[in-house]
This record gives sequence, structure tokens and C-alpha cells, in this order.
Amino acid sequence: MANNPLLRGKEITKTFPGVTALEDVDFQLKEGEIHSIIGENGAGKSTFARIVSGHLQPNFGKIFLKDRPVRFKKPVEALQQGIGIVPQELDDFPSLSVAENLFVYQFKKHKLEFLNKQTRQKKAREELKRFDIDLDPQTPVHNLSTGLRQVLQILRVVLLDPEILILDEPTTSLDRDEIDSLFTLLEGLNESGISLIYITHRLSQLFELADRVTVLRDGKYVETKNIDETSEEELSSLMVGRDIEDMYGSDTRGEEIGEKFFEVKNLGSAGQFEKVSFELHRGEILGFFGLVGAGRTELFKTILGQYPIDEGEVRLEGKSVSLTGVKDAINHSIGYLPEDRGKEGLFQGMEVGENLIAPKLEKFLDRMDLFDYQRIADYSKKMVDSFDIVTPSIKQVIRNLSGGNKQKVLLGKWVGINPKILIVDEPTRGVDVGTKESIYKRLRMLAKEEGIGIVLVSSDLPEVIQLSDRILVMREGNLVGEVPGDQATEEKVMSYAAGVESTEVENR
Amino acid sequence: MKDLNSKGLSQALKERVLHSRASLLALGLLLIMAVMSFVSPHFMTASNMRSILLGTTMIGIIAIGMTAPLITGGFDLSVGSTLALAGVVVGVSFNLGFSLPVAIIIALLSAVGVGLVNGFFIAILDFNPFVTTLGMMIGVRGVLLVVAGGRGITRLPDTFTQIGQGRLFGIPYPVYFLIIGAIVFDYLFRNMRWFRLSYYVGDNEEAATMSGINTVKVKLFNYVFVAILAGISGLFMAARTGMASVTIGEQAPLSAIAACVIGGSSLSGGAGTVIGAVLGAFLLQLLTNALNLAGVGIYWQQVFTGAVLLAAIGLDKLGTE
Repeated sequence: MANNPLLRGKEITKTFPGVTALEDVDFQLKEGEIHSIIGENGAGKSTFARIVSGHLQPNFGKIFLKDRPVRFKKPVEALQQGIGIVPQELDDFPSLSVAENLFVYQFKKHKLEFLNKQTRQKKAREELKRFDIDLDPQTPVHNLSTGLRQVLQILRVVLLDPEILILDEPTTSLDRDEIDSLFTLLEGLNESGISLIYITHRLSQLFELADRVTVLRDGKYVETKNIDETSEEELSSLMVGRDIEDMYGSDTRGEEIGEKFFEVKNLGSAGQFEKVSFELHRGEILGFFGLVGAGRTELFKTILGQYPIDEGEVRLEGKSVSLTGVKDAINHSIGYLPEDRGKEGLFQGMEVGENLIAPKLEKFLDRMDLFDYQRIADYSKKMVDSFDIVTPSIKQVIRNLSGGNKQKVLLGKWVGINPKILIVDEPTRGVDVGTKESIYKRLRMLAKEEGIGIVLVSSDLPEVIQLSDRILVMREGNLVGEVPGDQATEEKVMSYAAGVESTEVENR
Repeated sequence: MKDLNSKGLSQALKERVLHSRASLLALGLLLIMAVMSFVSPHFMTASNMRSILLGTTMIGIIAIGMTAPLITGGFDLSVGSTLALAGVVVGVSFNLGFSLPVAIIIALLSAVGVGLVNGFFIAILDFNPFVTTLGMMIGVRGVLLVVAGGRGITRLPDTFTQIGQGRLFGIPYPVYFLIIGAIVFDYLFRNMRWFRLSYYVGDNEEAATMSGINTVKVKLFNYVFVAILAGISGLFMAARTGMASVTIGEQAPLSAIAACVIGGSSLSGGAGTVIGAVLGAFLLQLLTNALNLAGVGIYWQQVFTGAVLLAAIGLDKLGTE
């Protein structure tokens, strides 16, 4: 391994109107290493990646590639020098084929060759085989899973033989299996000589992968550590800038739980899930764990009436109910916080206040069905304070808020309907540690102090284990296991989810 | 937490004025009018003002309606055909022996019918608004030609034409409708729950569904709403011209959409106000009038209109960045 770093960033500074995204950041990538950059949302990780890969230009500071100062005006220039980036969001071409997506960067280079469809597909097949991927190159990529599309995004850069590959939060929307195969791929690439910069805010994953880790906080460099000389706890506190003793808060389990008030009996929906039975008590946090595609989201959307119920029944407070949709659910005091905050959760172009009141607009009307804006303002301010949402005003447009604050608005929106049952689907996906902590605290408080029955649908295993009174595990549309929260271990829950162990939950 | 609401009232007012498309438009309109009153002695006359206002009514009334589907992220290309339909139906009904009020009601119901068909395909079956309303635009025009023949209907009763030609305090009736309609619907779109729902649906339809909003009902209503206003506009036009033409309003859909966009609507939904749309229609009419008075040829006028539309979108982009 050479002594001089392969890539060095010196005093990198980047300002946007009103914000300093990066300030005097130093960074060194050794040849052949996997170097992780971590930090909370807004720490400047992505900005740094975009500067190194030529998508942004720094206001100040220099980048050295093998001790040679370089300046990239465009991403292509970085690519030509051997620096490739896989962005956080999928930016592939959904209706084009696998082959066309794979060679998207090479159209110019091989103009004539790639006009020929046969050649293109043959070449794609070879490349896919080289990476052990069993795929028809003719398939349009929108037919593929997010995980596979992510892999293709990586491959299309790898095919250019980069020396340095930057991955920006590649696992955000992947399930455990997909993450595992992604890591295998990355390790293989690393062994073949590519140095990796791996950006993430998920601490648990990077111990499996990284050699070294650099922490950024509020746009500033904090520290670089060898991975075997640090711990998850240390990195968390470096990221947050204070000690997090226990992100999950004090364990309130074991305290008395209220009466059973919600029951699902033998519920089924063709092709989605079958014979699902469970019950929920007042003041209980019921964890629902499963891999992507296990049918959890479908189950709860069916209970809400978004999808048809083919068999079974739902009983609320002793009475059989058949909800006809979200509106009806709200009228029955059931709230559902959807997993995709951007797509199903928030109105990005609308104000904080307008978002907060969305599920209960009729609470803010006068007798003429006209809005009472004073009441809306009072209510919104109260929620902003109570949920600690950082925004200059309740009139701020949601789009301008950070991910964590958006999630707090979403939670506030649903807590605001005063639910008896609150179903939260992936409530902490893509939010920083600080926000996670406050969401956990809030969920516990809602359950223990207000007696709300909370259903926690999550793929975040530590979160499910730490928070739930009981954990139900789903796999391929079936309820396959129940684990009491205080006896749960990651191995135990995972073994049900992955199908290693299976004791069918008895139908009650 | 800092709160903008606690700023001084004058500051808040200033921000509202500067950030509202409608008030910027109004300022621009006043400026053009001030300049024009110096350029041409014929501009600031009662008859010229009356003709600008009356000229605004056809597109202005449609633009009130067009705001609704635009807010939910759609639009309606069939408004020109609906406009002609209303005129022809009122004529045919009256000539069949129905009394005038009944004939008007039948005409408006025919407009509602067009709106329901559009809404059925777009809101319920999730068809593309462009294709659906394009189909209706062509199809309804065809029905008109079948029913009324190429010539249209010229026998309309005086009581009817009075609606379009009569004046109160020197101002034609359609202008009153436009102004009152603009104020009333602008107020409703700002304050009434039912109309506000459109903004939620337009901003994020899936999130609206997941918030318990009946997006199908909202969208269906919006296509009926725009059709009714197109129908009313058509009745006024038939009354004003004294005949129900089958070819009238072929340019209306695009002009109305242009007026709305100038007034702050966005084709991607979630934005737009009724006042803005009506002021946009007024601007287009004012421009035509000003260019006429300034002796600019009719071909060049189109170039100007196009430029104004692009400038409006450009301003919008600048404003959001």
C-alpha cells in the first residue's frame, strides 16, 4: 500500500446561499481501502461526494489525485480521471433495458458498436455473468427490484474501470438480503483494486465493510478512525457531538399494558397475505418485522380499506369493522404513517401548517365550511413546538426542511388526529440519530402515557427489538413467529423472517 | 423558534404583495395602462375600456374554471367545444319550443355532461388528461356540426341576446359576471375546504389519498366545474353575437391555459389562483388592444403574446430559485 494517499481533499469549503455545507474539510483516501464517510443528515457527506466527483465545485480548497492537484468542472472529467460516483437516488432510465442502462456512459465512446442491439446485448450478458448476475439484458429496468437497479447503477460505473468508486447511501431502500449481496459485490470490487468511498449514516453496517471511517458533523471534519479501533457508540457520539447513552431511551416494557381492543382474525387478501391474526392492546407497542416483500405494508393498507379484504375480519373495541379507506380509518381514530414520506406522506410544495392539518381539515372549519386560519396557525405552532420541528415558520414550505424535520411533521400530522391506534410504517427511515431518538421517545410516550396502541412496522431490527412489547414476524405473506420484546434477539427475529425457523402462530 | 408571523404588519403586507403573482400582475397591468394612456389618446376612453373588459370575458370566465383542473395537475382542452356546445344547445332547445330559462338549463346540463365524461375518464379510469380532453374537444365539435350543420343557429330571442348585450351603468352584463365570479371563486379557493382540497391533490395525489382525501371526487368535480364555466362563457358569447356558432372558441383552451399560467398556475399542479387567472386573461386582452392601438400588425401580436407567456414562466422560475 502506498504511503501517499490516492485522493486527498484539503480545506474543502462549499457554501450555498444561506448555508455553509462544508467548511475546511480534509480527507485522505488510501489506495485499496474502503473508507466510509459518516455523519447525520445535513453533515455535508453528499456535498463532499458531489465535489470529489465533479458535480459541484468547491468555493475553496483543493483536491489532489496522487499528489496532483485536480479540478473537475463536470462529472465526466472526474470519470475520465477514474473517479466514479453512484448517487443516492436511483437515476437510471426506467423504461430502457438493462443493457442500455449498463452502457449509458459509453454511448459516445462506442457509437457505432452500440447501435447494434445484438452486440450490445451480448456484451451486457458477458458483463452480467462476470459479476454473477442472472438477468436478461432485454428486461426494462423498471421491472427489477430496487436492489438490482442499485447494483446496475454501480456496474455501469464499474464498467468504466474507475480507480475510485464513491457510493452515496446505497442501502437506503434495500432489505437485508440485498444489502448482503451488495456488500459481497463491493468487497469483490475492492479486491480487484478499486478504492471505495462509502457514505452512510447507518452505523451498524459499516463495521462489516469499511477499513477506515471519517466522521463529518455540521459540515466540518471531526475525526478519522480505523474501524477496528472504534465502536458504534463512539461513532454515534462523534456524529451527534454528544454522548448518546441510549438512543432508544429508557426501557418501559414490563409496565402494565391495557386491555385488548383491536383484533385481526384470519385476514387474507389474494396474492398478498393469508390467515393473519393478531391483537393489539391499549398502550402496547407491537412490532411488525419482515423483509421487503413480506406483506406488512399490504396487510395494513388492507386493514385500512385501501385493498380488498378477501377473508377474515377486523374488530375494534369489540365491534366488527370494515374500513373503506383512510378517511374512514381516521373517523375510527386509526392513523397510518406511510413508509414513503416523499411519495405518500407529505405535500412537499405546501406549508408546514397545511401538512399538519391535512388528515383533519374539518376540525379547522367555521360554520360556513371556510377555514379558520387563526385556529390553524395556533394548532400548527403548538405542534411545531411539541415535536421540536426546526422551521423558520409554520408557513415554510416542506420541501425546504431537512429529512428529520420532515419526518417529525409527518408524525405530528398523524398524532394530531388523536388516534387510538397509530400504525407507523418505517418511522425512522432515512433520518438522523437525533431525530430517531426523539421519535422513539415520542412513540413510547404515546403508548405509555396516552394508552395508544402502536403498531411499529419496521425493517430496522435493533429498533423493533428495543421498542416493541411484542414482535410479530412476517414472511411471504404469512405471520411466522411471535417473540416477546424482552426476550428478542436479532438472531431470533431474523431466523423467523428469513425462514430458518418457523412455528406458525396459532390462529386464535 | 423564529416566527415570521410576529413581524410587523407592514412587513408582512409587503412580503405578501411582493410574493403574490396576482399583485405583481396587477402592478404590471396598471403600468401598461399608464403607458398606453400616453401613447394613444384612444386608449383611456370609456368605449375602449369597455371593449377590453368585454373582450376579456370569454377567456376570463373559462380561466376561472380552468384554474381548478390545473391545480390538480390536469387541464381541459375541450373547453372551446363546450363553449360552442352551450350556445348551440340553447339555440336548438329554444327553437324546439322550450322556454328560455329551461333552454339555458339544458345548455348548462350539456356542459356538465362534457365535464362528467372528462372526469369519468380522468378521475375514475385514470386516463391521461391531455388525450381525454383532446378526444372530447374533437368529438364534441363533431357532434355540433352534426346537430347544427356548418352554419350554426342564428334565430335567438331578444330576451336572450340581452344577457350578452345589455349594460348596467355602462358596463356590459358579462363583465359583471366575470368580476363577481373572479372574486367569489378566488375567495372560495383560498378559504373553503372543498376547493382547498384541490391543492393537496395537485401537490401530491398519493399523499392526499393516504391523508383520507377523496381524490377521485375532487378531480371529477374540477372537470365538471371547468365545463360549467365554459358553458356559461358560451352562453354569454352566443348572447353577445346573437348567434350560436359551431366554430367559435377553437383557440379558447390554449388561451385560457395561457391566462392561468401567466396568473401563477403550474402545469404540474399544486399552484394557481382564480384572481391570477382572470388578471392573466385581462393582460392578454390588454396586450392585443394596446398593440392594435399602437398599430402593430396582427401577425406580430401573436409573437408578443407568445413572448409574454414565456416571460411569465421565466419569472416564475427565477422567483422559485
